[in-house]
Amino acid sequence: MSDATHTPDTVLSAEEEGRILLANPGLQAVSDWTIGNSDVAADDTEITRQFADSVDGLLDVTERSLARLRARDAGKVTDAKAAD
Amino acid sequence: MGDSVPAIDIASLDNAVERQAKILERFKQLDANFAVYNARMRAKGVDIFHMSRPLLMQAVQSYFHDIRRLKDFHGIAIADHFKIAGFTVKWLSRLRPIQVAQFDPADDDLGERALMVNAQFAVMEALVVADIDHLKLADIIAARMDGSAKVETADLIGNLMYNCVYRDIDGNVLAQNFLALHLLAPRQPGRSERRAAVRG
Repeated sequence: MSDATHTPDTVLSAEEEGRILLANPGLQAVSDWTIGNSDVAADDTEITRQFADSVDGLLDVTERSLARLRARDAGKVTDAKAAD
Repeated sequence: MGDSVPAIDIASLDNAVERQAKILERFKQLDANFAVYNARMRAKGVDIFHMSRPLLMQAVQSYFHDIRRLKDFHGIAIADHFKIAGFTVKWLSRLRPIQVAQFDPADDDLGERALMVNAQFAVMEALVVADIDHLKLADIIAARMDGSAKVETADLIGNLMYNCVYRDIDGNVLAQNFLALHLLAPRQPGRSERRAAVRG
């Protein structure tokens, strides 16, 4: 078995790698459909800015969510053991 | 041979350029947001995640396919922010572009993080896109529970993340959920309307 990997030697920017991937025929073809001129412009730059601004608050609530899921799972285990 | 070359359809070409530009912008936005997320994770000592850009590109393209089918079938002119949020969560959860490096198999915290990372990131993205103020949501839930807070925002968000991992999820249903949460707790009241006016 080869030790070779498919990791590229150079780190590309998202812009560069995105353009290469868009032209990659191994991925889903996009040439046979249209988005349409009235498709939403989701203000991607604005979303990036807002995400950066609010990441700590978002992490706080989702980390607490993970903790509560973990606690719930632990409770299930305890209940299952009790039921045994 | 020159006679057999079809005339270039400028409208089609423009659309192709526009299409690729939109896909690329969304791809870059998600890649950049993940970098912000992952920097915070690394600061917490969790250094096992990376973004698979081929999978991310596939997720973004699948998203646009889905939205296009939806618009064609229902005659929708513009996908609003709740559909964007819903269908983005759907495809990030399905294709899971955030990949996980080897980690200590006895570390149950990392094990759970590895399982949930795509859902966590997707829901964080959706809360921003759908303009939902989770702090305001917490106040509303606390008020409704009349002080006996058996449910908090983290349960609601956690349930959403859990469903992204373990349940069949539907972009339209998620969009409806995000709309409801936005109506309850908009981060910037009126922003969506202003955006719609700009887009329309």
